[in-house]
Amino acid sequence: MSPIVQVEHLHKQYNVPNGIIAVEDVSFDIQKGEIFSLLGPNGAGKTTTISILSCLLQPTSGTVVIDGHSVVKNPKKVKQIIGVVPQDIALYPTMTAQENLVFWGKMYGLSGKHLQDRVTKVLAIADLQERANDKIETFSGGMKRRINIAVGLLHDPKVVYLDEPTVGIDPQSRRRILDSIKQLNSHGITVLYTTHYMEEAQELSNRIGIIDHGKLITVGTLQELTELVGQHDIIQFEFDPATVNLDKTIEAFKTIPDVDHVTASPEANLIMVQSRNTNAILSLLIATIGDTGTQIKSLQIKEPNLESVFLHLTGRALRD
Amino acid sequence: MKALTIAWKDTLIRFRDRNALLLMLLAPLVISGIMGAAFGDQAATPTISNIPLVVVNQDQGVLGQRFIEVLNTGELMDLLEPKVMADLEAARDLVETGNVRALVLIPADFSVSLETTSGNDLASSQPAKILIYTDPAARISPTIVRTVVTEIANVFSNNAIASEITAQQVLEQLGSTSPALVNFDPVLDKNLATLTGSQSVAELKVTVTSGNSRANMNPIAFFAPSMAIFFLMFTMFDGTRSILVEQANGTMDRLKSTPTGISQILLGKLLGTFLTGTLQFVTLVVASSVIFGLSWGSSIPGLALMLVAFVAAATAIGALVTAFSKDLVQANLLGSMITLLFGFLGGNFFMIENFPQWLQIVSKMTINRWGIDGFSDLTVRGLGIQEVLLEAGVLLGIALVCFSLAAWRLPRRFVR
Repeated sequence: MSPIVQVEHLHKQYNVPNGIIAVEDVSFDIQKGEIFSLLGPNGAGKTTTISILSCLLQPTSGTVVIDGHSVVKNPKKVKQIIGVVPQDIALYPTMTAQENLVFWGKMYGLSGKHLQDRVTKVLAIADLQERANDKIETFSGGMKRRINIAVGLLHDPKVVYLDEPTVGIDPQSRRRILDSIKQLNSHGITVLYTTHYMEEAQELSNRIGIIDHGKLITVGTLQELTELVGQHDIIQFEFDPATVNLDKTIEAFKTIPDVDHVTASPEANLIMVQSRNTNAILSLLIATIGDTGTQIKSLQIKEPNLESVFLHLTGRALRD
Repeated sequence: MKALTIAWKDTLIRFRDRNALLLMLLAPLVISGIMGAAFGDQAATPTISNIPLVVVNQDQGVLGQRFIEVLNTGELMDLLEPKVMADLEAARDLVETGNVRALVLIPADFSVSLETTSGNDLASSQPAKILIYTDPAARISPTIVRTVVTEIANVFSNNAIASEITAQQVLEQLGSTSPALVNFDPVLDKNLATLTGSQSVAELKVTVTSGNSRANMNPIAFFAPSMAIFFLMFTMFDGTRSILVEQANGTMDRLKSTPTGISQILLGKLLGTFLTGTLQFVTLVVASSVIFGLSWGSSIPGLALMLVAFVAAATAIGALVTAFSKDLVQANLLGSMITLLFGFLGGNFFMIENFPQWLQIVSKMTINRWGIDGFSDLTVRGLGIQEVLLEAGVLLGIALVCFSLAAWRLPRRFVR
């Protein structure tokens, strides 16, 4: 396979020289037919990266080449190759699904029978043929998301960027969207997928890039990334909010041998403990909690996954 | 062309929005109807009274003096405020500077001409010409003056013993055509026809140097274009502001992510606003014609030119405000402020001729004023395309300047 997307030393600073740096020295490539996920918390730089790759933002420095065309030097050509599905529902609510698709199809340069055929095709992908003549404003959040994705597929792009396409929708709609992305990929479409849901990145991706504070921390397959963590489990405690004293509990945990890392999520009354020796320390942890007077509401032991990778690499939980 | 696709999409969205339709079509029609009904009642027309005019009497006989007496008699005293002057040039200056609305010049042969025609020597007589110079900035009051003078002159013409006529007799002959009724009373035209058409017509002529005798005195003729202009401004600002709305909703970024240039996108947005405004105005023209029986004049080319010029100017000002506003909130605020300010200053609610002189000059800084002048020329005064070239030219000039500035600034908003 050869890369269809090549990003090298990408850097974006708003209001140079004193503005915030949204993306810092990011380099990665995406092979043809691959699903590549950018995983990171909100504000990590995912949307800025996708905006540059979509020719919506000018990079401060670095190069981005899509299928041999530079996003800076030949944006018009790049826009014919890519399909962009933005994070927001970018549709006209008082127009019907069909009218929206026809309008966006024309913006991609389609016309006549080819346009009608493509509209029919993407409506089928979205599984919304029966609602084609209904106004978007009458759709549920999940249906709007599906039409939002359908628009990005109208011109049969080689690469599709999906920027957090499952935010704020019900599990059933999410499942439908994830399945249709897999289906698209099976037809050879390359997918760049951004998310802060580790489960989605794990399920969909051939490779995953972990991004935080504008920097791409690591890139690899799920297996490669989890190997970075070794055999670290995550022991997650949820506490009774009436009795919890997170600071005191964290300090107490840190004194226990074999506890490698402790992080907390105060708003959820959670403490996560990383350890290679879960069996040995679990009873000690519980005893320590008892000493602090805190009551446990729930306890989970998670084997190494992307969340533990993120925790391991950044020192904080993905949801922070 | 993608710009046309965007323009049509915007027009479709606007005409599907029921709230927008209320503002675009229902509100101007309802308010025009209310204003028309209110100002159609003479008791409710305090703004049309004491019209200042000067009379220069060059007549060598007595009828010229009688004519002046009539202007100062009975109900005409409330309507007109005539001042007699001897110096014609000074009187003209007063008209040109806007200090009076009209100059009535009674010619030297006024009495002689009437006495000759009363002797049935029509073939050899030369008709006297009463000249009326009017303030070009005023729209309504010169029409009233012209109508009154025509009416009086016809009574003089139709009296066999013209030299013996008194002011009281003239007033009696005016009869039911009480001069106060000239305050926008559509009945007046019929009464004038009765006075002049059924009797032997003397060849006394009234020549008017500004405007003509096809004046439409229906108050709707003023208020319908006026309200259409005012509410069109809302549409124009709303239309151009939709550029920022699309930016906030994410559809602008999506448009930019397609192989469509920013210039095509912006052109489409402005064309959409222009198309919406044009359809709105045409709908109002048709609706006011059907509902109120309003005549928009006899010049369709003139109406079309004024419509295109005004909608283009309003679109351009909207584009300018959008281009230079910091954000959507500021664009909303500025749009509303300009719409209201231009509405009041431009004469959408008050007749400009009642403004002080300095305010009349200031009002020419608004496109509303130029629009009202142009449309009034067509609807109230019944003029043609030639007479609205100035107004249309100024509006198109404003459009060109504002479009140029917006075209320079707008694309820069979208480069990040």
